[in-house]
Amino acid sequence: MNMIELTGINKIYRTNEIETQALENVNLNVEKGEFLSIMGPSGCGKSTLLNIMGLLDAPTSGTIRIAGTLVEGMKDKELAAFRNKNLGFVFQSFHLINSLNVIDNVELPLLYRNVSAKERRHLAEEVLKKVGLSHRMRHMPTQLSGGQCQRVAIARAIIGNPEIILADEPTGNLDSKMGAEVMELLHQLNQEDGRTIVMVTHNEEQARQTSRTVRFFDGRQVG
Amino acid sequence: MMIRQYFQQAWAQLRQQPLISAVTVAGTALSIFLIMLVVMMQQVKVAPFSPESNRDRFLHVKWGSITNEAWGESTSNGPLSVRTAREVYGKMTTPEAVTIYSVFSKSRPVSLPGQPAISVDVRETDNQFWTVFDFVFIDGKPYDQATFDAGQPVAVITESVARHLFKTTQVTGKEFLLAHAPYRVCGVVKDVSTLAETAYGQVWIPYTSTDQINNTWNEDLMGFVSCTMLARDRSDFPAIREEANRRLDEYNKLIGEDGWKFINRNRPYDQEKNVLATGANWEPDVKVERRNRFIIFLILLIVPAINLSSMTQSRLRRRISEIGVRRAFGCTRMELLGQILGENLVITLLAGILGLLMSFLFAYWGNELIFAQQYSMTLNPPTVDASILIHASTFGWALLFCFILNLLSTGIPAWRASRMNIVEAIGGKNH
Amino acid sequence: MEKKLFTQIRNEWHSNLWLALELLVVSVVMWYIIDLLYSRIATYMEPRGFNTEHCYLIEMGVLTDKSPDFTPYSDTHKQSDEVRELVERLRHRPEVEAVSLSQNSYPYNGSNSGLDVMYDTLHAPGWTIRRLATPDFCRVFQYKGTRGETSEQLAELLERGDFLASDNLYHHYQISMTSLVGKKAFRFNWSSPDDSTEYRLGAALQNVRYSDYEQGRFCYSMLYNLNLIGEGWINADNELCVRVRAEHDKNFIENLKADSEKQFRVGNLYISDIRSFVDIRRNYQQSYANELRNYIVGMGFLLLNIFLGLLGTFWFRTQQRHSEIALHKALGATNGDVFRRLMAEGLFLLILVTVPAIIIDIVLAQNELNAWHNGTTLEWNRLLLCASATFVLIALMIGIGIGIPARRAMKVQPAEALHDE
Repeated sequence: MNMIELTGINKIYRTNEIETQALENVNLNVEKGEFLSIMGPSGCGKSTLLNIMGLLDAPTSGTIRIAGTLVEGMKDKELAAFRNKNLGFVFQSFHLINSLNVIDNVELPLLYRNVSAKERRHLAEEVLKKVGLSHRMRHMPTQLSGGQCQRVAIARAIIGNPEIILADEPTGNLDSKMGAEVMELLHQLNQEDGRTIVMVTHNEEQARQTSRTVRFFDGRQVG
Repeated sequence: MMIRQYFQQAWAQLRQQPLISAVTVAGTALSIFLIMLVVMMQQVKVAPFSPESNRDRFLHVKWGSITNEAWGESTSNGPLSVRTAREVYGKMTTPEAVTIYSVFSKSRPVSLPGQPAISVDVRETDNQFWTVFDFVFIDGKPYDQATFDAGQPVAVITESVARHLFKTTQVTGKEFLLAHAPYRVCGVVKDVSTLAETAYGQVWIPYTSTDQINNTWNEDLMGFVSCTMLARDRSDFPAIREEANRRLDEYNKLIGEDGWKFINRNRPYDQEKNVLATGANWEPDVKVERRNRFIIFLILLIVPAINLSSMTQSRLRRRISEIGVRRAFGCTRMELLGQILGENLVITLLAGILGLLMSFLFAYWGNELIFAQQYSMTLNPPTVDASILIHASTFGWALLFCFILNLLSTGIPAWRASRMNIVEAIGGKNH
Repeated sequence: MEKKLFTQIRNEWHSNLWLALELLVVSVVMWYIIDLLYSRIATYMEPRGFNTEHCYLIEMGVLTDKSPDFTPYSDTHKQSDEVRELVERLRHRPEVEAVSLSQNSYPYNGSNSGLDVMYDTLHAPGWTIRRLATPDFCRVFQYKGTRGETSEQLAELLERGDFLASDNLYHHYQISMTSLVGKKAFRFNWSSPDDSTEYRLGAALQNVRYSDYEQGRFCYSMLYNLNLIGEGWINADNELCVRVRAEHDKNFIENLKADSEKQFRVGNLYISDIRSFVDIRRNYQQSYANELRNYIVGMGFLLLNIFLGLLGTFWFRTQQRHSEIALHKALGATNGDVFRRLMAEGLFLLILVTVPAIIIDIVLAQNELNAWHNGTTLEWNRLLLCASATFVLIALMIGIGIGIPARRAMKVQPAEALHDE
């Protein structure tokens, strides 16, 4: 079963008479339980593709089907709810909220659904245990190392139990040791929980460990 | 959790940028401070407090105008004579009570025989006065109808006057000299602020005990008294006005035989209108006054709101990726809008409390400056206390203005933030 | 560096728009307030035509039949005699310079009566104030004539039966009363419009203002001797005004009160209250004072907001431009350059909004929405003066508001250009 189906995706940016084709007729399917890595040089459109998959950005043309649902003409409210339920995001620079402590950061996605405070706390403690940070629940993000931050971010991505995790260069800001830890965690989520993961990376080594790699050049899929 | 996060994040923001926070809090507090002073300046005139606790049920005829066929367009304007007040308004049946009293308190010497006199503000009244106004008696009781009708020289005095004359407040039955005539104390009341403009005095005596009835001008049609009616309910106002007009027409028929005509300029006025009626010869426009107050509020809100908007905007700019991340994880535009407004409301309320507190303190210490009365016969300062300054409505207004200020200062930046492209926001780009 | 100023202002147009909007609103409101203050103060500074320094108002009381000392009035026991006697006794107090009786006449008096003064076909304006007073009234309040007549001379003219009128009584005919002094054929409308009694104008008065906040040119009044119009006019309701010799004006009220029981009980008359004109004036003009207080507070509020707004905005701005400023310094800009550069941004915005602000000011003035002075709302020199004052005051606030962050910006080290961002 296809978890993500992209058909005929085009993305064109227009700024002051300059037109940039970021994606050109991309057709890509990601199967359930797959760990897909996307590679390519800077500006090839891989991040744009990830954003489109994450419903953070709309394609200029083409259709997107996620978890069997055709995503088209959704209102802000439906779109938000859909993302909340089905998608988890991990960013290169973590994007934790510095004014909230670890557990509050992790709980964030649950704030946008009807989950009781007790339940939220319980789930957050559980996912933090999973990423090995139970002892850091009350810390502020600024008190953590980069690797720990990214693990908090991963905990945040999975607390809502989404089928899909989209990771944009998750190890880009980490040294190799911490990077390896994070990758290990992602693989664990993929293999043990069966979550579908799409990851943008520059790292050949990491890409090789995933189940499939696609390459982009100049907005087109080249392999 | 939502609410707790608002507090947490508001607090974090305040700490992150101490100077900007100070500017924000100062701007908000200053605005609420001045707005609340304006609110209080109006409230001391219209909000209820003893002895004018029934202000919302008062209808006043402070003055009137009279003209004569021989005068052409000219009118003569001022307080009424006892006769006019009695015949037109005194016999009305729709109100619960009608009182006739001297328009201003007058300064008169009081003393014990053989001792130096002090000047006190004396108001001449009828016995209904004590029904319409709710004085707090700490000794004795008001003069009754029989005493009033007999014109007996009795007086209700304030606590301070009692202390000054007799060194104690339990003085019912004792005598003193008022304008060189012996008067007997029949009751002692708590001191009254000059802000209770209609009821104010330091000593109250029956106007039948003086020459007030003959103290007239323009035959015996005009004089030096006013009258106040106490309606059973505000909904009776139209019926009372109707009765007043009917009686006035009858009275005009009577005095019309000598060419006189009494003009009431749509009196009686309710409390709000009456406080504007500083002159006898014109009708105040409540709408214009309200509009002016509205403009003042608008300026006091808009100017700081523009400032605060710019601060909010700058603060949001530093949190742009947070906004993107929240949106990515399923926060709707409305939820984001609510969150930003909520967080800022925490700050606004905090500053608002500060401003309100400042306004209370300022009103209390600066009463002579803030509540200085427009034109009065007494030189005593307008004293204030909690019962005058603090009403449930005071807090209601403060809260309302905080909400409005928050909406004005955060609305546009929050709306813009909620419309932002998620990808760009996560990337930290502003536009 | 300066060339880039405009580009930068454009680049940050969004936050500049907020600032400009605020400056515009404040500029217009400030102008309105300054215009009003200017008009009030200019009015206040005009000559008043009277002087209430060292003056007191004494209120007379009459015993009622409740008093054991009361004796009813009769043909042989008249209130007017008692009043005259009280005046005489006061006049004999060493510190008293002059004493007068009057009716609806004293300055800062809320009550007034009107009268038409007619000459041939000429009429006084409808709101001409009738002052009826004993001749010494001129001395108590130090009225002056337009041709240099002293208070004493004016009092003598009243004594002779002449009347006095403010110089502007016929100014709507472009006739000054000074030119009619000595003319005998004036008529008053006080008993009936057809009363043909004729009066002589003894002197024209320097315009007597109604209060400190009304311009002399719009205050019309006439003055006639109270003694000459009938015994009934002298009574205890008259205003008893006293001028105390300047060198003896100490504790006058207390002293007189202390003596009043022994020396100033005349028959049924007694002194019931004494007030200084300082209090009377303040009390009467409280509404104007309140208004001025409100506007001054409002002005302070607006200026403070400008200060806060610029302080906040430029604090952010210097934070954001940290590396840029450092770069400029690395390229040789002095501290002064950095400071001037930031200042120029603020002042440029102010100059930019001053143009529409002045246009709005003019429109408001044309529509008579601002303060009246000299009978108009639009006087070009006043508008220019007040708009300039507004500009200067706001510029001052901009200076302080930007000065603080600009000082901080000057401390940026050129090296920071390399590692920031």
